[in-house]
Amino acid sequence: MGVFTRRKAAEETGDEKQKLATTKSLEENIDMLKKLLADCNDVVYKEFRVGVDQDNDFVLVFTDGLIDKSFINEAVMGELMIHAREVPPEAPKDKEKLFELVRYGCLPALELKVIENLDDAVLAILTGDAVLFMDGVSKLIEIGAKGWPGRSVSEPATESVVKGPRDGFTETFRFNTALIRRRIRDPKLKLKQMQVGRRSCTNIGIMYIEDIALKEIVDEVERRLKTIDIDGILESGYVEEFIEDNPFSLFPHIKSTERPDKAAASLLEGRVVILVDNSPFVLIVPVVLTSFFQASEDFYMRWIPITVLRFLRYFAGLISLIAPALYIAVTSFHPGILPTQLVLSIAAAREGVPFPALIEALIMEVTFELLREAGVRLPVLIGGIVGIVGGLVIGQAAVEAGIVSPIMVIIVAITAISSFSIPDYAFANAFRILRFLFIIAAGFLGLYGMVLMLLLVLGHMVKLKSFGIPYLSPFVSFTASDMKDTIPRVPMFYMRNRPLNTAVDKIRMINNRHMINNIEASKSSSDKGGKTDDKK
Amino acid sequence: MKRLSLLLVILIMSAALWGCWDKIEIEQRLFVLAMGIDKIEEEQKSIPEDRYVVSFVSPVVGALMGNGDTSFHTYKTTGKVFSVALNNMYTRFAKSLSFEHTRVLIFGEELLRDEELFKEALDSIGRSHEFHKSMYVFAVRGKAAESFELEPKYEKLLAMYISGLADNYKYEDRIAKQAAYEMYSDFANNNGNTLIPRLIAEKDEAKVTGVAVIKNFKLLGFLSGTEYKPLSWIMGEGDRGLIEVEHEGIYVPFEYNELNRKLKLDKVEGDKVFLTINLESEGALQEYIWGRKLLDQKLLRAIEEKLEKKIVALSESALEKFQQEYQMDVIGIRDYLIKFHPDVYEALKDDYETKFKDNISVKINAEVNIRRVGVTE
Repeated sequence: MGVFTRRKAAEETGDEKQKLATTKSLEENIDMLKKLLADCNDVVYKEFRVGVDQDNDFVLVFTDGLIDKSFINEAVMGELMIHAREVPPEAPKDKEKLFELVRYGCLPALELKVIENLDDAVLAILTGDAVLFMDGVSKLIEIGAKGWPGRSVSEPATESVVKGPRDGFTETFRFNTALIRRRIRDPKLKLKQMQVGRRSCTNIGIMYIEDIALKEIVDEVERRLKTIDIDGILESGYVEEFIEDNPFSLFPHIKSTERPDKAAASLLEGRVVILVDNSPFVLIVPVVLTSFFQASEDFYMRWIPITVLRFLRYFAGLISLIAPALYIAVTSFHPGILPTQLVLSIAAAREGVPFPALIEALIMEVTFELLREAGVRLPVLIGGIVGIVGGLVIGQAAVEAGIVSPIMVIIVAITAISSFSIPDYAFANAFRILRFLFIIAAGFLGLYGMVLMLLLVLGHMVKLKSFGIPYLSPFVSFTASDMKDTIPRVPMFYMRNRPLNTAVDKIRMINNRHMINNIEASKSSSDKGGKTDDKK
Repeated sequence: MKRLSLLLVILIMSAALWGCWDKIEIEQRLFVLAMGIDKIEEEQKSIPEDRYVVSFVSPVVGALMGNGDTSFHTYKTTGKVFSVALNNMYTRFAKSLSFEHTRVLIFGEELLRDEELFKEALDSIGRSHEFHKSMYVFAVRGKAAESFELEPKYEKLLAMYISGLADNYKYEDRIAKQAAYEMYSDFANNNGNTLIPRLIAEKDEAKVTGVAVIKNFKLLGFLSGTEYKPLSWIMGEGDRGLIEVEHEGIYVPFEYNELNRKLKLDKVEGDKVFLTINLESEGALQEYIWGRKLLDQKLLRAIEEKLEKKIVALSESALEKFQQEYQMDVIGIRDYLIKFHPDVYEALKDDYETKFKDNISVKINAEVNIRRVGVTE
């Protein structure tokens, strides 16, 4: 029986005895451990003896590079080896008592845990903790000494803001939970941890605010996470694919973000945040369509410009979805709906172009996607060259060679710009693919085909659910109160309610704006406020 | 999975079957911007049965971008029936005719005089979904085809030039504008009577002024712009224009920017019907003479009275012409009576046009209000 089978069996039966037990002999324990960790040359076995007679054998096992060495020196080695000599030895002869002394009296480390089987010891060692073996007892001490080189908190690259906090999640699980905890100091903010992945044993955390989030959703998230049985989870994208409602949908229905403020805001709305170790992207469930058009900046700037910008963003989304298709439909099927002068100038521009509009649009759109795909992974220095190739060679030369019309170049450019103004990358990708479907539909059937395609997409979106919440809410299953943060963004003091379909505790704040100009009322209320504070 | 594959099969199959119905690339279309219809003459006939000559103007799109001399071409085709004439084009031309942007439809004089031919052409255009009905209609003396020979001095496209002229009806009441749907509704509601704006084409200029009078789908004659202007007032279509009167030896032009017509039934005596038309006008005096003040209530009142007299005189003569000479009710009295006094109309219903001449008497009043006299005194 291998280590994974034993772990799984222990997890399924709840019986810790399924795991590989330790013995009282230090030698046997270390032998067994060395067998388990054979050929793992980064595991260090530090043997040392303590006591006047040097008769107490210890072995400290850890993985080189995963632990904080200076901390181990200070809190374990120093205490046990040097300190034990300075103080007159009164070491009890009974090994059990000695263990108790070491466990509770000797090690000034913050995280100490007693483990009683070798499988857990192996996991602890590989996680970055040190495990202290002692001769004569079967118990082991796990010493939390994680300290590996990690990226420090820095500004998220994909979701930068003009105004707003600049910290972003990192690859370290514990930093990420801390970043959220720093924003919400509420005992009701819960963090449930589990380990997923048979080989990777990745930490996954579910964060939610107990009295806001719907219990059904929290339970559902937990249930779905537990169904994952895979060798390794390397990124939150793995988790997303395993737990999303409809993996065959083009639209993302789990939001991932690098911004702790966005995660905190979602928590306050009653959503559930899933953190995955080694990934700076946390997942937010459940989400609706409109949340993909929201940027975190929307709530840090004044509401009037933001409402206008939101309109612009939805308009940009529409453009990026249908602009090339509309061009095809109008030029090849219905030139009557354009003003005469425009029709004539389009016809003049297309004169000499050897391809029908459909092929022309496909050529340009595919070229654009190629450029984009090539540019994503290029180093910044070479990235400039892509710009030159794209702008000059493709844009200008294609027009001058008469392969595409200049109007098509404009359409592609507008489409590209529009698709970049959708805040969420995953969602913009969905539109990228849909754009091609729309182009083909328009090429076959004109505006009629576009309408059919639109109906298909809408039908799909109406059916789509994210953890039980309709994807198009609040537009379907209409909730007037939830419209406040969709296309318009109403002033903060009108956002009295949390989203009604995700939150249990629905009232978010009390609007005291009327007190701003009413000094008497605000005084009496602040008195009241003072009293309640005293009671607390 | 089974459902998904079934759906895919259906989608792919239908995609293969539906083809690209109705798809004509924009450069494959020949955009007809203006169209003229004439009655054929003997020497033009390609086969003896031909009855129509249809000519149209299509832009040379390349020329619009700055290369090429001629910015439009004129095409002519003949046929026994209007739509056959159009279809004959396909035997000679490699593009597909597109009427979605037709701005101008011109009728030749001879066609308008031939009731049968005119009605057939009207029906063909009205019935077909290819022609949109907001194109402007015009009538010309002589042949419609001839007006396409002019090369506009100021604009590249003939059709744009002509329709732009008609759009100036807002600034001058001598210009009449009529869209095809207005003509059709006139024909339907008014016993085939209508006024079609008159187009005069010269060498490198065109003029839109006056109207052609059509009674019972037949041309009665043309009215000049100055004759049409008072008519437009009593028709209730006065928008803007100039009236000039002489006052103490000085010509004073009055620009009205509002001319409201109010039609009222006064009384019915026996079989006689008495109506009043009130014309209320507001506007500004454009000029007087240097050094003389206009801000004088008495002077203004005197000018207003002269203007009123002139308006009444002009309107009465226009009305008289239509009542006595043409016996045509284009000013909407019939419409008014049907809507507001159906009992009065009931007595006039049979043989309305004779009764319009004999039994209806209309009095015209005018009221002029000078609101502005200019910036400098």
